[in-house]
Amino acid sequence: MTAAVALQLLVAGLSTGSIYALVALGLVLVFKGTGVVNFAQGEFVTLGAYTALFLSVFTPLPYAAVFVLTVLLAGAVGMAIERGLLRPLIRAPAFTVVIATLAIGLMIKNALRLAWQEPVSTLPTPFSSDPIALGPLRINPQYLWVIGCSLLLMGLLVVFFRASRLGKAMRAVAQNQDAARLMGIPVGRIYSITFGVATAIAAIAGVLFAPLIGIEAEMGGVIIKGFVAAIVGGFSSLTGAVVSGLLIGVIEAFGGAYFGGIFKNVVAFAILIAVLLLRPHGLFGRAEAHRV
Amino acid sequence: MFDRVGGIAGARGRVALLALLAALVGMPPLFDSYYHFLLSLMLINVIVAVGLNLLIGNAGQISLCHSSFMAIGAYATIYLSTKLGLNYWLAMPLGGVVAGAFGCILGLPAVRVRGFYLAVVTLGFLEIIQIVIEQTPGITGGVRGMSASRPELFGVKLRADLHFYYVILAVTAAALYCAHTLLHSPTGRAFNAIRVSESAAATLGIPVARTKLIAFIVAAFYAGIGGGLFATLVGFIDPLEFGVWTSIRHVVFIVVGGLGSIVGSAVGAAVLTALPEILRGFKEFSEFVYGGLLLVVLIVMPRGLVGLWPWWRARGRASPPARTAAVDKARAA
Repeated sequence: MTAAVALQLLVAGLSTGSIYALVALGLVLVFKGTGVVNFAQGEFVTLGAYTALFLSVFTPLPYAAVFVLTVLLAGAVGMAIERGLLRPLIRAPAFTVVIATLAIGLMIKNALRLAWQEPVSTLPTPFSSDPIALGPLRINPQYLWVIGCSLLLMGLLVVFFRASRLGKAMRAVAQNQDAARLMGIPVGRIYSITFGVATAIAAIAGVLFAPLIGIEAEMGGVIIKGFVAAIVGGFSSLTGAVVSGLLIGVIEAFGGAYFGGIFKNVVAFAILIAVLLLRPHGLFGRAEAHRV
Repeated sequence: MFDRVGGIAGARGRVALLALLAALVGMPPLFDSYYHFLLSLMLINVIVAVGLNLLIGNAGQISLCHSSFMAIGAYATIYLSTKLGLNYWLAMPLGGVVAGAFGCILGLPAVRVRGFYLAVVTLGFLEIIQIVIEQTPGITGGVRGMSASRPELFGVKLRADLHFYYVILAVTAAALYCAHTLLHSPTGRAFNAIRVSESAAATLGIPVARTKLIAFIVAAFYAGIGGGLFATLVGFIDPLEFGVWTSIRHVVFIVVGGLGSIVGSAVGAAVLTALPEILRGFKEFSEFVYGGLLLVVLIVMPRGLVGLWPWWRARGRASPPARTAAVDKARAA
């Protein structure tokens, strides 16, 4: 394997990995903020991709406008779902919440399948699919756009959580709900906003992911890779989720090139089981004490 | 009529059970073969749901890969009986045993994790089984699937759906009886104990990990038997049949019927298998409707259909006239 091929694999792996990272980021954000593990996060990715598709098919808006509008709409949908369907279950046992979010995902997926009967659709983007030549290197500009966008988004999130009032309020609720409420933070509204932000991140992942794999109702299956990334990252660390997501993308790309398709498909689960057995709190998480 | 774990108790319960059994034996010959097929499907789903309810409803372990154990039982049954030429009546229970063995393989890492981590691990297991089925066409027929044939019993080939229905009915009755016995045994009580509190159960000397493992193995065995019967009934299986949607359907059965209740599993599985078949034009929307149904039941009646039973029995007793009469009597005294 030449250095050029290795670099190309690295770029491809990083672009898929950044999608995994975005999905994992949404999962961890909601879990830290509200204690809910959202099994519908994958369907929010699908929802984002379809929303962008509908907007670009039925309106004359340019790509940039479609992108922004999709993210805003997804955020609003996420807040509505939290308020209407998940808030009543906030004190329910883990099983109930897992199954409820699965049910929400199932409904989104099938509503989209019924609304748009095409098997696989493509989302028009301003980037050509011709690779850019950099010396011996051939790189798909779509990959660079995905990586660039994801990194920018992650940077913005860091600034949001560190500097903005709302971001600080969200961190406070994640740390200690009762204390946050005593400080006058409206915990319920923060729940909705956290969910909305996570849904918006998922929608961005969907819009970026769409040109890589095509838009179809099953694209929410990416949630499994997102879960692996989130668990390997410790499930409470945003940095951990991002690093593990990128890592899994790169391992899959190189593994697929060296050992073939089966390896590429199962390596993430092998990593998941190994991490859960050897280091259940993840590579970046801290071991948790159980109160009896 | 029902006991704590949704088993049959009391004279009225036994009479009702016998009446139901008599109806299930006597009525089907009066209907045409479509209903024999539908009834068979319902009973197979009852077996599968009862197994899953032992794991989720009693032992409290989330599993989203029940359809994989069904797949393992189905493929093992067909492989053993058609490719290795084993007698079907040996191959089908062995299919259940193979599924149980895989349940043990999954259970070993799974007993170390809990809650949603377990849900993710079981989802991963489902994906791995799907990939393995697709990638080993020599054993499973790959994505093209595999066809099965009906077995012979006492020299007669059970070609008619009605004949095979009676086999399924017998297996279902045995499965329900075993589940009932298990739940009243120390192991079954231990299931409920670890669901309520693992620490309290451990304090009382219950081996928590071993009990969870038993729950995984039993649930997988039930699903494997259901899978073997399903393959033989339908005559053809492919990996698509056993995807995550099928697993979620099994969870819907027990949530709607009633978690931790044998009667609940049976009612949920039977009703939710029959409804989509009876309501024409519903099939296209079935996944959407199932999702909505699941949400409504979780939010509005978390104890499922069997949770309505005490309320139904209590109706009338607390009716206003009776209460006023009692109050008047108390005042007079």
